[in-house]
Amino acid sequence: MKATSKSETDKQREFWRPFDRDFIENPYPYYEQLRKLGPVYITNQNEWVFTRYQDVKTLYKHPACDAGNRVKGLTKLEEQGKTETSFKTLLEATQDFLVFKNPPEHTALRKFIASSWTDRSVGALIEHNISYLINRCDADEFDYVKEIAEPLPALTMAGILGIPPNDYPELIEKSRVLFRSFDMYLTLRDLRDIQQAVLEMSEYFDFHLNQKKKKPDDSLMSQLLHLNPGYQQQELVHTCMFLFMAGEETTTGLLSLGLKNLVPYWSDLRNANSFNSKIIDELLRYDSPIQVVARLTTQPIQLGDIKIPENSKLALSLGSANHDETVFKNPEHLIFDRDSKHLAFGTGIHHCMGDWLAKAEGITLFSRLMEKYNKIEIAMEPVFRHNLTFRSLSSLMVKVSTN
Amino acid sequence: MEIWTKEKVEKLLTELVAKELKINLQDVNPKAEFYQLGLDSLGAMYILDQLEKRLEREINPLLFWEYPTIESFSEKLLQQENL
Repeated sequence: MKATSKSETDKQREFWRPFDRDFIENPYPYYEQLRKLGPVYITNQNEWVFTRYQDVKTLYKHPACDAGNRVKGLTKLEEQGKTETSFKTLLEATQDFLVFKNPPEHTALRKFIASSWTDRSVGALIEHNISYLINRCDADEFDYVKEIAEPLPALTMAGILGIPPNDYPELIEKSRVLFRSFDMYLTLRDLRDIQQAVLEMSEYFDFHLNQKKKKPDDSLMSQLLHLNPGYQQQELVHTCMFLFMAGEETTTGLLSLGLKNLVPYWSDLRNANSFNSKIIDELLRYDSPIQVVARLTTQPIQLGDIKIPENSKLALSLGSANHDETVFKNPEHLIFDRDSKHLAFGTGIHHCMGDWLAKAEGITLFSRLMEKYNKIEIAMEPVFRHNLTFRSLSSLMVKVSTN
Repeated sequence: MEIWTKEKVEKLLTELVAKELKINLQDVNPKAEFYQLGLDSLGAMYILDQLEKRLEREINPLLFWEYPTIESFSEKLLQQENL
């Protein structure tokens, strides 16, 4: 059966505007309309867009929803062999990324990473990085994204993995390109760029893994080598690359959007002097760094009245689910003591492994900023990264005054 | 530099679509949506790549699905800048 009538689809088309700057900057009013119009919108390239909380949650966890669309696409591209460039390197890397894997390979790799990453004593590292970055900003007006929200997660991931902290600016550049492998719409040109970033990052992490072999320490890279149940060096290289990227890009999203959204509440929260995990969860719900997650159905799925055929591409809108008025009262308002069941970190077997780290970085950073700056203002219109899948700012000029 | 008209862009696009789908030029309906013609996302990628090379410019892949027929896509490409 068809999920929606033709006229409904036409109406929905007005509100799924991934191409428009307006939509990118503030997708929430559009999501609201989409949720009202129906449970699913099938785009003109036959993607099934889901926007309601319960549907997104169910499908995110559904065993017949494959996480590896990108890998499947690249495999087909390689098989067809019609392109001048081979994408073998990129295919091999994405195959090794935890986020694109399905059970049982997913289960094994996740277990291996979890067993290697038991050291959660990152408090001192985060404090050190924050005080270094904050002290470096001595002007009254500065670009918070460039000075703090971008470098902090990169410096922190570098510290955890055990690579030289000074390498972060170059790694951020490459990791940003690599992160585009999550985009829903890519060209061959994009794939060539991403593959180039994979090559360069592979070389980098291969070198550093070899260093750790010679001189083991207590870093995550050393632990991965130490506990390796039999993965090839290349797979470890790809895992390190993935961890760096995953820990870096999305956290920048949280820290940049988070500060922008906190500014109106600055003095209240500052006086309350109890910046806690609930506030971070509400910031994550209100403005989720990962807005859309892609899936591919491996079997037909019956979801209420809707029958999704096998091999359908799904776009699960976490951003919209987190604003679903049937689950979150007054979703367009930040309510800091809300009971949180947001989907910003996903759910089920693909629930983010670094959620605790992102939250620790957020809590510590916002607390230190509140201690240091009694006033903060947004000095210029924030600049959004033009990306549908991943929500973040590329620039946030702030004006601050210290105690 | 090559001067591109709507007719020329449409002709080029029709050729690329026909080649990709391995069908005759006259079977490519310029008013049909790409998806209805049988193009998938990989097919779109190949076509866009060749289009970028021929037109010597970068094209946002979203445009392809935003203007999902040969007619509308050609028109959009011409509007965007002088080719």
